[in-house]
Amino acid sequence: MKRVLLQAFLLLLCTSVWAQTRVVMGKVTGTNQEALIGASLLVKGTSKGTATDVSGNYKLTVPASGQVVLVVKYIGYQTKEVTVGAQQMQVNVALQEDKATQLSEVAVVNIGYSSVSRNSLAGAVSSISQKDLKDFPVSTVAEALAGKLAGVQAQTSEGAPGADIKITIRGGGSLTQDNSPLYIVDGVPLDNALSIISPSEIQNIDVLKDVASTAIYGARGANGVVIITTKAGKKGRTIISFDGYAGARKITNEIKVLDPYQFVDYQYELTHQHYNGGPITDTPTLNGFIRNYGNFSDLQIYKSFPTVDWQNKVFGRNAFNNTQVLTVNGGTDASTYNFSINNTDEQGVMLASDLKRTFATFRWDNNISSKLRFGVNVRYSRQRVDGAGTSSTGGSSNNKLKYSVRFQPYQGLVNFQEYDPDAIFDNTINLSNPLTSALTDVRNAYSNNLITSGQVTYIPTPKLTIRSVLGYTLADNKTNSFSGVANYSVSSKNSSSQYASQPFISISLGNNTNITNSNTVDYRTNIGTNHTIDILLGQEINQNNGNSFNQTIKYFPSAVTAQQAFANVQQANPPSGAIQPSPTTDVTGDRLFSFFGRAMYSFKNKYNFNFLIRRDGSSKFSDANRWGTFPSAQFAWRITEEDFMKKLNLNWLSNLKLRASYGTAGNNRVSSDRLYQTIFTTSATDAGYAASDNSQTSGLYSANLANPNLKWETTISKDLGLDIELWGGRATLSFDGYINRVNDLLLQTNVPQETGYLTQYQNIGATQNKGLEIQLSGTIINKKDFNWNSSFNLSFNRNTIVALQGGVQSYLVSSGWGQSSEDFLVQVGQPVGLFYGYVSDGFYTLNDFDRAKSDPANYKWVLKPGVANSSVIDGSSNVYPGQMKLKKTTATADSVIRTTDRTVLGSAQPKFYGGWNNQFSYKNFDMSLFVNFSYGNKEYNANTVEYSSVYQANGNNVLAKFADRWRSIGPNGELMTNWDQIAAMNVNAKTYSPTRGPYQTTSDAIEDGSFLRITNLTLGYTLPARVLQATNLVSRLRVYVTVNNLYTFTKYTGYDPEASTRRSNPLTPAVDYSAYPRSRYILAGVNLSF
Amino acid sequence: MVVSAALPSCKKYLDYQSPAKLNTDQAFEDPSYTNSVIIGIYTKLCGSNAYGNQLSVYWHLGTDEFTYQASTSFDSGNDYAIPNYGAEKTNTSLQNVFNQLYAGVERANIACKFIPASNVYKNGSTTDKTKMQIYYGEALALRAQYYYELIRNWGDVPATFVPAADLPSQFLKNANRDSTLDHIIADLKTAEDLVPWRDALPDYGDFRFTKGAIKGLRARIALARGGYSLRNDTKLMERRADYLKYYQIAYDETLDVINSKKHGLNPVYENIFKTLHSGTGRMDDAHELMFEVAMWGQINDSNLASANGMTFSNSPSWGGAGGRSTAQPTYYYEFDNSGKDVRRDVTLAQYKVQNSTDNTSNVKNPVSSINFNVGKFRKSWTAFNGTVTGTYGVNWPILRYADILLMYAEAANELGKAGSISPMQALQMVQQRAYGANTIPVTPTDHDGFFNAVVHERLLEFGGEGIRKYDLIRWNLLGTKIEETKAKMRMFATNADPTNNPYANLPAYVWSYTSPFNNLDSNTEAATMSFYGGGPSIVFFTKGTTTQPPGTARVYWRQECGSWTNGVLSETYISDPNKGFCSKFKPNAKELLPYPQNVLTENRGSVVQNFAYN
Repeated sequence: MKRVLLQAFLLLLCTSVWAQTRVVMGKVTGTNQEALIGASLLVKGTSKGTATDVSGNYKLTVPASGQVVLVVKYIGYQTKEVTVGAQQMQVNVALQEDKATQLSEVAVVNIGYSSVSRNSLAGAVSSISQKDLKDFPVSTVAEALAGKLAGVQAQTSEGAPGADIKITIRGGGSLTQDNSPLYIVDGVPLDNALSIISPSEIQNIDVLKDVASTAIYGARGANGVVIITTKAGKKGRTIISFDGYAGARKITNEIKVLDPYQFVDYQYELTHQHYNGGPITDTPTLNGFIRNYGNFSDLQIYKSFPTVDWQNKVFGRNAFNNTQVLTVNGGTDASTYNFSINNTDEQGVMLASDLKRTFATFRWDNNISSKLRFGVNVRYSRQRVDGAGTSSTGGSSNNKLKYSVRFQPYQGLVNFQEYDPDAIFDNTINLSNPLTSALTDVRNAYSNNLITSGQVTYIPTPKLTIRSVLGYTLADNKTNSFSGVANYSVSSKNSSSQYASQPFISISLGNNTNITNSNTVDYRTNIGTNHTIDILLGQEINQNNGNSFNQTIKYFPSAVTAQQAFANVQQANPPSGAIQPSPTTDVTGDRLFSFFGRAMYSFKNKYNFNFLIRRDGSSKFSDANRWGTFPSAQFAWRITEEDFMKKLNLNWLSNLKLRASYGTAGNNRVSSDRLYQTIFTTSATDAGYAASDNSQTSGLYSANLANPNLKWETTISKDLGLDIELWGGRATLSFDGYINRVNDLLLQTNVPQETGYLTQYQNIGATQNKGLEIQLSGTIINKKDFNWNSSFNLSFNRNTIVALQGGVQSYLVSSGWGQSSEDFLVQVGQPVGLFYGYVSDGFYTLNDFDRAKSDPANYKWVLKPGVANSSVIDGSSNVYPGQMKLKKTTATADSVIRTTDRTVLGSAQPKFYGGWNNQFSYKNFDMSLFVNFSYGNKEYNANTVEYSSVYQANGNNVLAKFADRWRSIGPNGELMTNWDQIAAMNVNAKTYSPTRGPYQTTSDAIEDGSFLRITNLTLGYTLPARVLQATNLVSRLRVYVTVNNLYTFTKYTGYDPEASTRRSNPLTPAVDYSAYPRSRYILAGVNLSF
Repeated sequence: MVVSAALPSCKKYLDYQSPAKLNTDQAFEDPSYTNSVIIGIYTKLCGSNAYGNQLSVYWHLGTDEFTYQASTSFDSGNDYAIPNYGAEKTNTSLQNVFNQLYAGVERANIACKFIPASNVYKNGSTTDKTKMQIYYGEALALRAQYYYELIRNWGDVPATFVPAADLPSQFLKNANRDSTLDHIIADLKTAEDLVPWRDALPDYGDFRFTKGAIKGLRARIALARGGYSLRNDTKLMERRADYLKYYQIAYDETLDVINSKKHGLNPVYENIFKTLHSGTGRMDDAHELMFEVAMWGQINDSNLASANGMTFSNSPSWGGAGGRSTAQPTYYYEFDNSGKDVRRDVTLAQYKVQNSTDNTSNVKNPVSSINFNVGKFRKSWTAFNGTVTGTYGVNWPILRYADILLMYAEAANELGKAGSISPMQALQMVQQRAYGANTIPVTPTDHDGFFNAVVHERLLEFGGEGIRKYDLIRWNLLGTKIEETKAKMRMFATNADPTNNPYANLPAYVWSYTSPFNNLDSNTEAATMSFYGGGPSIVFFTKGTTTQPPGTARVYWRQECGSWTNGVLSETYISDPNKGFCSKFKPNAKELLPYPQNVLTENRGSVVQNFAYN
């Protein structure tokens, strides 16, 4: 674009007139004979020129006599000089694509508040351009970004429509606070940028990775900065283009469970063997079994029951999706515009889950005069996500995937949800019918975003640029959710006091505004021919305001539908003595005031020195600690510019650059409530008291222990990089090594309980990320008809906790999915995300027991000396054959497994991760293949723990592997008591019997989460230009077929190795609990330009 | 850079505060906000981890009145572990209560710092100043209540009287309980001069501290300070030599309350407790209830009457409710044997309310001798009907006027003094209310005899109200009474030696019929229980048949405590090492609870565990 502007500029300025002229006409075409629109033609040696129109045609007036040489230029093509003979009137020009410019992708890199050429870049910046994204028909930028850039980890935590994609740059340094990077869209910070920008709008994404680069953004840049530049209008005729695609999603795998007979057979065992190993004689339980399943002699009948695959019923549909993007782009010398509208209608694979989204964006850039420019950006996004999904931040009773996995695998007559105070057996099932639950539990999340920005640029002299950017964003969110009687939390016996078995709804409204204003002065000058200086000074404010409203309304009539409930909340009637919860509101806000400066000095374009300083003031800290000053420096050395290198005459080495940087940045990502002061908040639950006996008064209380010393968290980063460009840019290589250390971590830490609080925000501890990033790209094959471009990136990151609060060496953290004890270890010297639990050791067989001392007839089992006693698993003091066995990891006298036998079971951190992108073109066909991968990371398959356990609930199905479990029930339905018969019955037992005690984290559940995913495969065909010419309307037409998430090579046995559902706490990554399954997406689409 | 020049202008910009929150200036310069802060201190008295459940349902059990039986496989983390003196430091209830009480202390510390420092407290209008003084007094009283509860359970707990944010170090050491108690006794003196009597604060009711309650609390804490407690240095129950000084404080304070005539005895004993349920409005015009913790439905609530109290099982009117703590079988017989004392049938729920066989009406069925629940809490006294389960907002009584009279009697007896009424009169006022028109027993006049009469009277008067255990500790009688009760229960067991056995004429079983339950007064309902052989006044006191009469249900009586055969007692209820009565009690060791594990961890060694748990 820059080049186009420059040419336009030249054309404007330089006009001279020939006395006698003639007209030369012709057409400029590209590789596939397609018309090139807006190609520039210049009569060599003059300033006379023109540009091609929408059909690629041009008319140019040249001197009447003699030869002239036309210089024809087009972005991405090699400049061609064509000699026009004295008599020639018609000159067609076919340009050759310039691989070199295409490969270097982005010649200009946005480094924050201004741009530099990639050549003189001194920081670690990875970029991606519209070209890399165009083949990925995905609905959000985040999906398109996954795996594309070294050092940038994009993890899709779930497969639900609109699910979070977690972006982490170089590991992330904070332990308990958000590690997401700062997003800057056209100069304005935007929190949820990746989910509200359509990939088709993207011109460039520059990811600033080293802190010295991000430091210009100060406080919020410590976790990296993602600078997104959207497409601006192009001067020329209005171009209308349309992209559309449609397809279907389908889940790729299922969790296998027991079939109806196996299920009932297992239920029988469960109701007839006590968890201590003996028989169950309790009549309600035994009668309950008969009432629900029948007599033992009749159980064979279940073999003929058709299996109901609930997962297939709930997640098995072909989820149809379609997206349309319409873009109108054009402009004149004075102003350019780009308007785009994007509409997505996406079904989730789960019943009743879908997403509807419309983005509309308008960008208008205007030259008021040659010195004054003005631009406006308006973006509106409207989104609605339906469906309650499967996962919840709450414990196991709030998570819903289990309904589809664990519900009885056949259509039964017994309604398990019915609340019956006398039938203890029935209502301990803890499940809702998966279909009813999916269809009656409603959640509609609406969000409307308006993002506007305006900028004025004043260029009094070519050396001085004064710019002011004002941004205003508004986000409105509303979530309506409805829980009907089918919902376990509504109808279960345990919750009956809370909801009286009646439906309830909750409505939550949120409204956030952000105002940002940055003002910069940029002065660039050359001193002599050798020295270039660029000085930028700036000031910025940023203010956030949010308010929220939440209301839960209980006690709706049982038969109410979600629509009826939302439409008429007045119909909710509390039973006598019960009260409706009160609504709550909150207002939050924070302010940031900053000054910054950057001085760049370049000597002969050989040595580049950059110095940055930023001073941030934050409303989150007290007066004394409010301001933080963060200086940084960068250095780049273009070795190939050295004379000694030039003398070597290494033609293959076009560019060799060494970069080094040292940067500091602050972080203030803590709650915006004045944590440094005692602040009072109102609460009915935490501060209410019934001082009048007939009503409760809400009081005030201090929710946080004030810490007047709270201050900026500081990141110090060192980066060393090497950029190599070979064969005129046909191949580029980039290496970066870095060490990022975060000091004074803002951590919510435990404090002594006599303070009256359990935690306090303190500046304590330190973490470190060390890493290496490799990025390669190049043209592997470059033939006339066949091209193969490939880019590859690989990242290694080692995360270490350097120090914790007050000399604490380690502590345990619970992810809280439902397991009984902590499942993560936080330890100095180790990375974040260490899984912690027991080491499994198969299951108890008769060999583990002392036959002489055991008495099976009386259910007495005595372990042989030295055999570990894993009674902790089933919560009973006895162990008996068929139970899960654990390994003793500490030496104690009695070989009983205790909590001290828990140990580190693996790390969620990958050894390396990366991506490989290939783009092929053969004549008019194009193909792209993208794979990304991660190696060496472990994933906690918490689902299997739950699905291998009966904990607290009968009537739940378990994993299919338990068909081969150890058995205790004999052929006549009796609990076996004969040693030899038990042995004979279990010769082929392959696994333990599902556990009976609380959920325990064991090494069985910590699986290899390494994967290689074929993320995207696209095959496209562009209609030849000559065919399109006939239409005289369409200038480009491409059709394509894509498969997203085609296949994942992994040993992981759950739905997806990237799942992470306990993500509100950075200390508990990679827990796959009740995640919404990911799907394969097959689609076809069309790109059309007029 | 231009930084320094622009600094002052952006200070204001950066001083952002959310209008949803108040800072200390805002909260303490306006009496109505300050009132809200005080409300926030009261909150921590409520709920499961304070007087809503742990402190009112479990922690005070394990005496000669009520207990909560453990199981044969004793679990030191279970709720029953604390009443049976077997809690270990990992018991989560210990942790939760500890945290909540200190949260109360912190909230009070904030108020106690900022109220007297506020401008409106010092220079406000008279009305505002008065209000702020009352709030300050309440904050002091609340802090005293929290510390008193902490000290009587853990002893030398860490003590701070400034907000946690002002602490130079968060790692506090154990503080000598004598000095902490002295501090709060002094605070209460300040408080009682700031807060007026209840009639000047009509909207306070007895849900907030008024002068009488503060004086009563001061007397109670003074008696504890002047009583015995378990010391970590000597590992003995000890009282300090200057204890009479504290009896004097108790004497002065209780006498003040008596002389003020602002509070009196409720003529109907049962109405005190009905009032707590507030289902039928208040029935305490005499203001005997001086301070009660006001619970609020399902938010800051109590388990009283829902999990703890008279048992309802599938009753058509009240569904299911009640249970938990049970009385020692001997407690029933501590009351006057001829049934003159109305307190017995209020305190002890001798039956459970169920559904009639035709599913139409409420009936009562007598329960066995070891299954009497606390009758002072009954779902049938709440406004909640059978379909509502959960909790019912039943309040917990902290202080009643009867306690003022008995504390006065005790202190006056100890000091050999008498004020406007004699110690004897004070004791007999309490007795006479219980005996109504009946003649009260003869009261001993000697020091020790009178003291023992007070000890006994407090047993009868306050059963199930969370007072007995801490009385016995300050008298150093806990071990004695536990042993006494065990000895009595051995005599209660069937076939025990009848020599000098007060229970010798009691039946092994009683045979009951179902009878209607009409939610009448406790004495009537108890008297109308139906048995083979007569009413409870007969069958509970005379040996009946041991063969089951037709149409009756067997109700275990003496048999529940065990049975003697050839001089050997077979029982689990009395002395089973796990399930037995107060099975883990050790004198001079278990009078204090262990500090929770997390407290030891988070304090990094500055808090030292009580010696019995090391």
